[in-house]
Amino acid sequence: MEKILEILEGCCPGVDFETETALIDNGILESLDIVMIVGELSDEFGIEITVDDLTAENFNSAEAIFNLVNKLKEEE
Amino acid sequence: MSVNGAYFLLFLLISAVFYYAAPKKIRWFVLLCASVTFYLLNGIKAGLYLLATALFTYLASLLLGKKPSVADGEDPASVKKRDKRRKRAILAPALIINFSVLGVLKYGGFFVTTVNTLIGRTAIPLPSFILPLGISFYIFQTSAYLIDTAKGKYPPEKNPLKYLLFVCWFPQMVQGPINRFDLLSGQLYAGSPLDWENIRTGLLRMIFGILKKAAVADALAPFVADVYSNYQSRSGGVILLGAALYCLQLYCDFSGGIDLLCGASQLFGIKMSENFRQPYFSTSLADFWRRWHISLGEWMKDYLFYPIALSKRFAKITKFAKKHMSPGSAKRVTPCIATFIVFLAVGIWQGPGWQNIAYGIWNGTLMSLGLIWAPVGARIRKRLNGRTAAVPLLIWGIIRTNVIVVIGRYFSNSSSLTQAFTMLGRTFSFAPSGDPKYTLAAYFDTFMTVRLAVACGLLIFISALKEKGIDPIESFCRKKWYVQFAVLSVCLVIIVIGIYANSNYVPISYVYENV
Amino acid sequence: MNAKKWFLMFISALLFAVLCWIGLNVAVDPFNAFGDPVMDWGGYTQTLNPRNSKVTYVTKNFDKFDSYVIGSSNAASYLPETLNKSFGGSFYNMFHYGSDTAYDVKLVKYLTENDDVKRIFLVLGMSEANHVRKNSGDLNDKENYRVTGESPLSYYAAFAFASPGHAFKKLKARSEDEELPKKADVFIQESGCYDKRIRDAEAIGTLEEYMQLHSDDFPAANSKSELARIDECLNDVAEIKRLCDISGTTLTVVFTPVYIEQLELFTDESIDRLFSGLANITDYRNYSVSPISFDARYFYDLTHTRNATADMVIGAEAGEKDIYLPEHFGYEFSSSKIYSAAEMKNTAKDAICSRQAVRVPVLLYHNTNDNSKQSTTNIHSDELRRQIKLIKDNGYQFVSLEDVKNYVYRGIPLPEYPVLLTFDDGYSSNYSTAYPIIKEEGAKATVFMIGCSAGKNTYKDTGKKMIPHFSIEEAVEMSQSGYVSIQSHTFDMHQYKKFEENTPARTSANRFKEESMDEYYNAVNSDIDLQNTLFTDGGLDEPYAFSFPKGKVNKTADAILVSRGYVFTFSTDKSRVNEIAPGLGQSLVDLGRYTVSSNTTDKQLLDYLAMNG
Repeated sequence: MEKILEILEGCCPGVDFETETALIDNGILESLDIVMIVGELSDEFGIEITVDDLTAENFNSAEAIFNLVNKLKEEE
Repeated sequence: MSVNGAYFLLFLLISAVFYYAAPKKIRWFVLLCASVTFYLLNGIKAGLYLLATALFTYLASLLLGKKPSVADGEDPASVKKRDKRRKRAILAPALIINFSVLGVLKYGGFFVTTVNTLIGRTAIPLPSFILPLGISFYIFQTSAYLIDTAKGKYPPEKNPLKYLLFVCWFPQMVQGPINRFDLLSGQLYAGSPLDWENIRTGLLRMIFGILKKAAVADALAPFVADVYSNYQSRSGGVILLGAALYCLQLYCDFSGGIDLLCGASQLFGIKMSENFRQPYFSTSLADFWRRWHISLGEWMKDYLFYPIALSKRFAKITKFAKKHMSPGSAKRVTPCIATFIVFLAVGIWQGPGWQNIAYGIWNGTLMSLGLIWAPVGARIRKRLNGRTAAVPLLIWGIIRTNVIVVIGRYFSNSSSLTQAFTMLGRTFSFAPSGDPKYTLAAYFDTFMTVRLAVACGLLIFISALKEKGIDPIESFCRKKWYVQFAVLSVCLVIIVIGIYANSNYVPISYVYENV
Repeated sequence: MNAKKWFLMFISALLFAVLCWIGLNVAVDPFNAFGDPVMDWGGYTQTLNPRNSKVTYVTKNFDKFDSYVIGSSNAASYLPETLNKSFGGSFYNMFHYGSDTAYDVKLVKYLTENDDVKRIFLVLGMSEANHVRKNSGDLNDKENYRVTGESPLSYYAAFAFASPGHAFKKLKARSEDEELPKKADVFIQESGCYDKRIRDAEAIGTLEEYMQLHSDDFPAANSKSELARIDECLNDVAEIKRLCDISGTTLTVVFTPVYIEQLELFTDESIDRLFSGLANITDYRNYSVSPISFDARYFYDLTHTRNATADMVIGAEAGEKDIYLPEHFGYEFSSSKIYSAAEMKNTAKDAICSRQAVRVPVLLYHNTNDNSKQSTTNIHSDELRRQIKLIKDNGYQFVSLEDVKNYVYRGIPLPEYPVLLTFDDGYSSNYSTAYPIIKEEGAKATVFMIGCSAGKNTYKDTGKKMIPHFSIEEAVEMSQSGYVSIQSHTFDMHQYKKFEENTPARTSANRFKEESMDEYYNAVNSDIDLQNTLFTDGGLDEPYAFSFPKGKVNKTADAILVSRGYVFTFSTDKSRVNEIAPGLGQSLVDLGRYTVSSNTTDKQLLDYLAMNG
């Protein structure tokens, strides 16, 4: 989780990722940010995040991202 | 049948009457008949092209949506893998064929001229293809459908006529928006009940769209057209004004047309995707592309940007970059490349011609630079005092973005690359007018200036309401009946006397109608 | 309000908008389909669509008119004013753009069946037998349902649902409209004729000058063809005769004067067939070929006769005795007597060759004060007397304005070498010094007086001294003697800038730059009014001759003066050849004059007279 927060802040400084729960819905994270984040996450955790995984449910909060990462890690 | 004329309104009236008179189950069929009639009135040949694309993508989608046959005891993972390979084998050629139709019809001539210029003589004869109405939109729409069915997002539509309705639903044929199957089809097939609120919203939206186009866009068109055709003798200042007013004209033309057609669609209870969200209030170029021609932007994001940015090949590029750069910069490389590719595509999409490609490059480059600049900008923003800096930063953002957009229009509305550069050159060198007889007053007499000022004032007001989240139609409908009657009467008097009954008003076809 | 009610409100707003559209078209009525109830601007509606507008107008006013002129623009110059005087009754001119005898039949049918018509005056020209104007199908060519038999509903619907652009055009024209005819408004509603106030006041000099000025309007014939629709034309004329016989209406048919180059476009054979065919239908007088066919000054352009020319035709038709008529003007055609085009042309050619041009030199003097030094504007009495004697000894005869007027309007010949003597400003010395000399030498003269200076020796109210001017009583005395005619040099448009309190000072009759056309029009008219009042109050006849202050001529002033009844206007152009053409009042406009100063030599004087001889 720590790592995830680190990646998030590295891509989008200034956002409070610990409390935000509408990162996609409120347009805080944009497509370019998502791509960078996904790239880092894939690299860091050795998972494959595809286009189909890019949903609001999966990226609206740091926690949701955490869950996604875990799910994909299990599938590997 | 031109969407600008009174016949279109008659067509809507007749279609709506049949629609609501028909039993709910076959209402979709009424829509199909109306759409086919509308499209065929634009040309039988064009209709055949459309039919071919619809049939082709229908069959391909059935193949793509087929459930994989499972052999006994087969491992689900291998089934998945096999299925994926099968789908790729069908999807890739299907998409290539679908886009090739667009490529040949729209860019065939350009390709031939370029080759001939390179060789130095007319080696290949110049082909003359017709451009079916809305081809730049429906090819994208059907391609998205193919990709979605391949992914299993939703099952493919089995009824060929119902699918045809999705492809040729008439309000979207003139200039989009590019609708998604999961959002549009349900509404098309369900058969809406007669809800007077839909009629009301639809009519108001149509009135707004008609006025935007006729009162602003068509009023500016002669001036803009003159600047762009006589750019060699117009002063630098006038050229700049021409490009800036072209931005206004294009917005009122395109969004006005969208308002008219979305309003028309709303009459049948069918909501299409939104295409504009107060684009000239954008604070950055990235923001602009989320507010301008939204359905195209969304298409590019979902079907071009994400797939290439998250592809394995690009992951390899990022890895390579990380070895040679700081990690902070390295992770931005592939998004930049992907952005550049997307905007190159947007430029190409505008139409054949090097100036359109230049338009794409202009936007792509600035978007990428914006991405690289982002962390620097964030650091600066952190340093500045939050509250006092907010408004000036906002204004700076809006001005900066609009300047970039205006410069872009030097390219997208020129007929050649040389023209665009000449116009830019003349603007930045403050070139004087080469035609002593030319005056702005010829285009902007008192009546025109006053009417443009009033129209722009209203536009800004309504846009500001929308930006604040207030629905102007809703708030209008809450006003007292005599206020509404007065406003409606004024609008309809202008529309009847100034537009539809007036033989002096010759409507210009929509800019994106011929793209 | 629920959405369903909203929809009903929307429909009412839409109906309201449609009503506004119809209302706009009915209220503004650019084509006079609804009687032009609000603007009543017949000049505009008739310019736009004469066929429709005139029928609407006369239908409303049947009680006013009992006789009609029928024809195309060939008939435009036949003025109801002249026709009423010569024939009695109350005429209206129904001419329309472009020849169309089939339409004329329908029109005559409508008029004779709906009004008690005493006389139909049918004007025929070459075009009636050669083509029919094509109907464009637009509203400005749409004919009145009463004449065509169209259902009134479809007629009114066509105009009620016309494009609002036409109404806006009329409103815009209204805001730009001026008194004098402008492109959008060239008709006079009350008569149905063109408003030719400007062209009827244009100065006409020699034929050569006129041809140079209007070379494009009189192209030489470069081909010859047959008249294309003789039989149809004859059938239509026969039908018109039949309709007039049924309703007891007198039918007068005239063939209008034709300019030679238009005649030469057609073969003599086809012209003869037309003329004789007409004679078999009805007796008529044929004015097509006469000496004036060879003189372009009697025409506005190749296909249109002047109002003055048509006045002569009307006079000839009515048997007026005391007007000028050219020789061999109007051949009487009947079934037993016809003339060929060739013989008419030869007769006319002979007459025109033996014609003598009449030219009138005009001399201009100002002050004749023996107590002041001689100068450009002051001549001593003995010098004046000597010059008068010199002129007489060289064979010239002094004539009066009346004499010249009688030549132009009544054809009464002038002496072989006439000369007009004029004095400008109205100085006292003219009365004390010049007048006795004129009487003694048996000369005739005209004095142009500045109205506001009459009887004064100080400038207006300023008390500043100026050269004394004679009084109205003195003017009356001179006028009643029969030797001197008192005319106008404006009432107060010859102001002296240094003394004048008003700015800008009106030192001439020209329009100020800041002045609008309508303001200028009013200024000139009120000056004329003031002058008229001064003259009539004093016992003089209203002036009919005008000399421009400082010689500054302008066309607009000429048009206003002529429309107010002025016959002569004078400049100070000494190089102008004052050729006057009988029957053409315009040849008395902008006559040039030679200013006699103390430096004028006898040779210069005689040379000027010879130039104009």
